[in-house]
Amino acid sequence: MSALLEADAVTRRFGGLTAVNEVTFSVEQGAAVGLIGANGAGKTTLFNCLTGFDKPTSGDVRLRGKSLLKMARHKVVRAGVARTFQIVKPFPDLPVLANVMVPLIAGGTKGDLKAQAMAVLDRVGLAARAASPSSQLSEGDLKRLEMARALATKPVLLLLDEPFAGLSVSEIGVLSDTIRQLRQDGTTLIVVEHKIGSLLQLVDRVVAMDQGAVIADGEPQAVMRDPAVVTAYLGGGAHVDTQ
Amino acid sequence: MDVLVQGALTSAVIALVALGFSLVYGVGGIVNLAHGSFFMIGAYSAYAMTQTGAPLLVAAVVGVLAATLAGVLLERLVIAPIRHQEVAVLIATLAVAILVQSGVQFFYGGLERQLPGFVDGAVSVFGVTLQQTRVLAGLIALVTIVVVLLVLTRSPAGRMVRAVAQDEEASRLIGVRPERVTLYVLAIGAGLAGLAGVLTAPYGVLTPTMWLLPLTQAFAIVILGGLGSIPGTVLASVVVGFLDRFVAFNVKDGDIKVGLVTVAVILATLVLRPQGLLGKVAH
Amino acid sequence: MTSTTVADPAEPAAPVAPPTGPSRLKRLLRPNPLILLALPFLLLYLPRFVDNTTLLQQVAVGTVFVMFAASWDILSGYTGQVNFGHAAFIGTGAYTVALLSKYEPGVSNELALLAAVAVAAALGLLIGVPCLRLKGPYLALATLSVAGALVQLTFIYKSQTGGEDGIAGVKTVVDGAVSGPVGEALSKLVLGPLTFGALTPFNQYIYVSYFVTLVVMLLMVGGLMALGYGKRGLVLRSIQQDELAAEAAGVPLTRYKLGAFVLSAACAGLAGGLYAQVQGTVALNLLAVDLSLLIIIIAAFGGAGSIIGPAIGAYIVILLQNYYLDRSTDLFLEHPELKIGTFALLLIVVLIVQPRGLVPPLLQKLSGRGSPSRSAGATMAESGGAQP
Repeated sequence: MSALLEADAVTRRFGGLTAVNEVTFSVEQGAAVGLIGANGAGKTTLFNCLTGFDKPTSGDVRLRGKSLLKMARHKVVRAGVARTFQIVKPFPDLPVLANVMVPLIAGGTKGDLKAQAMAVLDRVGLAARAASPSSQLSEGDLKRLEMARALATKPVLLLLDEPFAGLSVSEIGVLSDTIRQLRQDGTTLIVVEHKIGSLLQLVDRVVAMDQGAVIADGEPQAVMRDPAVVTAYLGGGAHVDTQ
Repeated sequence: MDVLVQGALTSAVIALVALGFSLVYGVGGIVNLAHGSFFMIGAYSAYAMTQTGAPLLVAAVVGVLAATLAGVLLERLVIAPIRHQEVAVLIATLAVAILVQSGVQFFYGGLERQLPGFVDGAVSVFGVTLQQTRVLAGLIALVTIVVVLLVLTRSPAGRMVRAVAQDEEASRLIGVRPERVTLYVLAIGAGLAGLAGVLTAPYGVLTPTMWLLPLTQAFAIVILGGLGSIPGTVLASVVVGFLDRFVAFNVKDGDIKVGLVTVAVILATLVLRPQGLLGKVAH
Repeated sequence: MTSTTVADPAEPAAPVAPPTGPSRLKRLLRPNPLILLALPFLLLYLPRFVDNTTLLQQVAVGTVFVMFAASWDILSGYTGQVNFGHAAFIGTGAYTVALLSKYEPGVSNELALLAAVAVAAALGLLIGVPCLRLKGPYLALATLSVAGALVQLTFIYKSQTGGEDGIAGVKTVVDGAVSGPVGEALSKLVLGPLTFGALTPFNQYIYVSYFVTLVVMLLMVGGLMALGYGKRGLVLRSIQQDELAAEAAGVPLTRYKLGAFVLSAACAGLAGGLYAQVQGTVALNLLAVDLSLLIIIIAAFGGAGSIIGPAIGAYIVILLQNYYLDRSTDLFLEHPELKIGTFALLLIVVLIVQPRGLVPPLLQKLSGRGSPSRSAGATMAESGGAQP
């Protein structure tokens, strides 16, 4: 079975520092993969390399067999790889609806854009706030807007960068439901997250990183019990944060 | 050889302007579009003094002081209230530059003026015959730059300046007041530019629009040298200075073409090597 | 799992002002219809009620400045690439027309305007590419420098361009194959054929200029507004708000940024060329920094990012500068530089004091963010009420 996304010996060096070190893994269509690691483990750098926001020093990133490396950022998005930002980046002075219309326009969508944008907002539960300026949204709503914007690009692969950061328990619940629904609708997911408990309820595979390299990759419970992961990420205390 | 020596002298003078400009940006985060106006104020103030019969030395000092005062006024009145609004600062400083230009035009008209040289006669340097004025100007500029660099790198005041340049908020924690430092740096930068104006005045002409070229050259230097890099600024000043003299001598209508060539260099650098000659991070 | 709207019990009450509903969205996507309809009619029939041909001449200049400001706005007010040297495009268009008129008088006025557009657009491309990676202050310096360099270029080719004196005797709109008849037709329509026929040739030329500039302006502003308030305008705005986010949304950044640059340049070139054909002369003032600043002032008082805002500002500023100030004291007449100096001073004062509602909209639009003030509370309040 050919993979949807392949990271092939991806390495990213910044001067003397190797942030990502020969990372290789692949993601099948329809999968939901979690990416964990301590701060500084290289998750964000890898994330940026996978989404076209950074170019690896060596190695390759392929979508359905085709290398993404030579593509301009917007072309990567058009190829079907969408991402959210850890620190949300809405278009602050534009109304929520307009925020979602932009990717639709960029994607050359035809037809009633407002209606299609409303449909996307509906999927994430933001339809009621369509006319509000995005600068007035709560943190949880902003995360949903991030996702709506990513969804409006009609991705086959959605990469979420710490979607639960800064959210309350109930907000996490709402967002999780939305993400689960996305998966049911056929979107492949890669989620970077620190809140392991919430993450584990979404994914069926976990990749753990430490100091730029993959140290474990597989079934979530197995990875969480892997001694290397326990030492590197959980600091030897060995209990999973169930928040 | 001629170009070499002249280039060295011109580089020193240009570096005076660029250093002030670069420091203000590095320390205050402010791009002062009126920086060239300090240059002009220095030149015109010195000229005004010579018109009243004052000795040249006095005129020169007045020129530098006038420019420094202008710097202080600019910082206190215009920049301080809007320090953190980048766009407002840009528009406001441009407006100041135009205001100064209008003022100069009002008092002195659009005609060109000239300042008599400081010292008469010629001297031979490395086999090149030069006006003593030019040599003197270059030496003064060189000495000034060395002094400024020494102060920046060795003195406690210089350490304060570099602290603010590195991290404004952190410097506050160790008792430095960034607002004060910005004022001092701007005033000194203005003085340096004014000095450059005074030094250049004798062998150039004064017009109300003479502020734009020094600004353009300072910009070219910052682009070439990489933002905030002092060695970069120095190196780039040398490049721009030599380019200036090279064009002036070897190209027909060289004096006028300098501005054009400088802009071409800027655009080329931006396209080919956006981080400049020594800069590390692409802007 | 259903995907209908989910009520979130933990969601906090909306801060400061409640969302104002559909009207906000509408205002973003459509300008005030009253101004849109009223202004063209007002301008069209103005000559019927105003006899003063000198005043009308300056209104025509105002019309040209509307084009200068609108072309600036589609770039600087929309994408946030603030151009501090817009005069470069204007002057390029003007000098292209003038040079063609001087050296190739056989070229028709319309063709000359087309050439002006092409040359200005090419310049826009030439500058736009290196400027793609430049932010605020650097872009300001770069555009400023380019305009200055063009002034130098004009001096270098002094014999062709006339240096400080510029070029006189440019073929005017009256001589145009299309513009002449159109201007005349409209003049006759508004004034009545008999009245128009009885005028001196000079006065006829003033009316023809008036109407030709009006027609071109309405077409240009109409086109730019359609663009600005449409889909592409939204994308342009998004670029100003957050380039990275726009890229993540799939926006081809380079294409839009460069496109805005070239469009802005082309429109400015057209306006500049037309101005040359209206005045009959071109001079260095069309490339000068003063002009660039004047356009920024116009946009500042009119409201950037709306196209129509700067348009209104243009009439006010130009009539003030070219008509009313001259009549107030002799000082301004003898020393025209004081006029731009006064405007500059006013602008500085306004920028420092920042009376609510006057300048903040401009700065907000240009910097792509909410209130210029740093406090979050103010940001909420300002963005709630600061739409033009």
